[in-house]
Amino acid sequence: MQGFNSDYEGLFSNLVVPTAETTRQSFLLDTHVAKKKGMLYVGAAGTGKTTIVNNYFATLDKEKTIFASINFNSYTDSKAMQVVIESQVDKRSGVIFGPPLGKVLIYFMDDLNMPYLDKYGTQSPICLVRQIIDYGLVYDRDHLEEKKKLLDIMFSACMNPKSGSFIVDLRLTRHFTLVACLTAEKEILSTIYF
Amino acid sequence: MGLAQTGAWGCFDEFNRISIEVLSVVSTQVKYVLDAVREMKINPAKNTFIFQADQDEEISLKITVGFFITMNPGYAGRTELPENLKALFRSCAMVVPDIVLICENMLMSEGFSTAKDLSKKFMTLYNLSKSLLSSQIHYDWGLRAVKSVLRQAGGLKRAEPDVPEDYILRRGLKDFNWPKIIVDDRSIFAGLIGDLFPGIPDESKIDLDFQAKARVATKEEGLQAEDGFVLKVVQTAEILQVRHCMFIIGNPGCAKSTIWKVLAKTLTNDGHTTVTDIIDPKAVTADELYGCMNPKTKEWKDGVLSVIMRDMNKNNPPYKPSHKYKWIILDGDVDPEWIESLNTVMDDNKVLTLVSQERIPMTPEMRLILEISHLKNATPATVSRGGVLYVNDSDIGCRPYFDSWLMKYKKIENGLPENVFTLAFTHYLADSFTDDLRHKSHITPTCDMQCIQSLTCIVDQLDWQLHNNKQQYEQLKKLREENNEEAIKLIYEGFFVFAGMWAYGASLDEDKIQFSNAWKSLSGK
Repeated sequence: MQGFNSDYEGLFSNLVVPTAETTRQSFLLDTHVAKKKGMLYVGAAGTGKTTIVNNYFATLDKEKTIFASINFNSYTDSKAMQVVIESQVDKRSGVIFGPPLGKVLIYFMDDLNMPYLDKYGTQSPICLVRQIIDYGLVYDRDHLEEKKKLLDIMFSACMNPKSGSFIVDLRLTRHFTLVACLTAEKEILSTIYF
Repeated sequence: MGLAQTGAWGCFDEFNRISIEVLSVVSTQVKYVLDAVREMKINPAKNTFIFQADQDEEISLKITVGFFITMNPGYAGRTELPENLKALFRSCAMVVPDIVLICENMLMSEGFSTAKDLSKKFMTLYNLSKSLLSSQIHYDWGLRAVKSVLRQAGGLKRAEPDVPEDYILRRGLKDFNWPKIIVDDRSIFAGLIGDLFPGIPDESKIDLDFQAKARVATKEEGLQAEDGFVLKVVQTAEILQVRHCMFIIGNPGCAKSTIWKVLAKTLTNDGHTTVTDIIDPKAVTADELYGCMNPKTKEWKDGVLSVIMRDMNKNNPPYKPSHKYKWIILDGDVDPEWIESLNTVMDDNKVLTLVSQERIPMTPEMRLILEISHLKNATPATVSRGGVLYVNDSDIGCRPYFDSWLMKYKKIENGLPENVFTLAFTHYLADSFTDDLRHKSHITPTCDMQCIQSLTCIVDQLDWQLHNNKQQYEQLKKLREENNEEAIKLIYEGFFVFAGMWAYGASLDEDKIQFSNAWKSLSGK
């Protein structure tokens, strides 16, 4: 485990104390990013899901990876989602889009289960993400006859199962490794705060 | 207006799919016409009328005009007719027709001479199936299903005119229905068929040649040509031969996509080039799917599906006339808002009607495949229109995936890891263990495939590190020189245990400690 450097200069709220859990999860995330497989952190509010992920991605080599965070809320629809996704990728050739060559683009979707459920229980951004993960394919929303192929991108996500739609279509979540985040124990909290 | 001028009869099919605002406009218009007709009855000389009060336009009227509406009442996604419209039409209830007679006639027209007996057996089977099998939304024992079985049976009959007719019908019924029957109902259905056709052996006509080809294609994709999987591929091919639209239904991670991909490859290998196009219909809005009219400029804007259908129909690039099969894969949840617009495509009309009045027919090469995990929101009208392949979780399972993954390890460390993982799979992930795990409280639902994919992903990376991290590699080399197989085996078993712990344990919430104990006792530490 990495020791905590108390000489940290910066906003106090940005300060992260490494614990056994963050170290463990950093290793797991490392493993998954290398294999381009996503991870899904699930846990109640205040279990440090977002912190773990953001903290890990801050340590990544900027030359090899690009990190883009997408916050979902109940107004996120597939179109808004697609705008955010496309804003991060460049045209490579023809219909192929992706981050600059040699880099991997990681989208981190916070609050994955927040989007509004339509009358039939579908969340359109979730469908879009699944289409991208399964087939690496999106349709240009202005010129619907044009397809775009996305390369070298991957997704990770976190969600709070006690809010939003509670659960997300298993057809999407099955592509992720699921990790439950539990509230930190007293000892750990005391190492962080005292 | 056109109807009134020509005096023709108009049939408005599925009338209540129109939104309520439009319906009230329609009802006033119909009222104008009917009032004019009534007036004309009294005064035959008056053959014009004012159509809309705000436009002083007189149009001519022919007395023979007639309006008819057909609709399914009370479906999801349909509107109730407003009272003033209801008052203008006389309602007539339609009941389910006597299928036995229809069946008998169709059998006769397909060339069966003992049609009377066979149709009775046929309908008894369907009625019993309806009441005895579990109620699944994708089961359909109605007229459309009957028709397609009979058409298939007719084909079988013509292929082998010398085989007794009851043999043929039995085979047709079994082959047609088997793919969609869920595991729990299989023994009941087989029992029913056996009782109705006593003394006839249970044989199905298997295209061995095609099966072998499917096997080859599966292997080429680096997958395991398991019997269960190949059977599903062959069944899909059979359904696609008789139906131009089909559903592949199954829980997530049960190899739905792999089935159609392998089938496409099999057909392509066979010289029937197959091209596919994939859309998740719910990733775009319904307007973007079918195209829409700009309300201000009246300009037509094409949608994803309309473009694909037209290109396939006209062989525009990227499609070529040499493509033998063209599949549109609709991979996503079904809901009445978009699927009902496909009704005309899915039934015998085979035409996509767009809002722009354009009609795009499906050519014989085109197929529509819907890949879905459930049919919760589908109406019976939709379900009865397509062939169904139901993939049970146990049909394929995750073992073939695991075996495919193991092939990577054949060449590493003289196959040691392969042995270790095979043993570990049976030792740690025995059925009793995974079943037990399924009943524990997970923080969100998971499936077996998800866990096993996580496991393989972590093991892969650990193995990569072992070979690429200098320190670890030195150690490995040392062990190799010492010929210490046991130690290397132990390393790989360690990988498996570690990965398994995260893959299977990480998603538990309250039962984590229980899992940890069980896992520890399995690993003997």
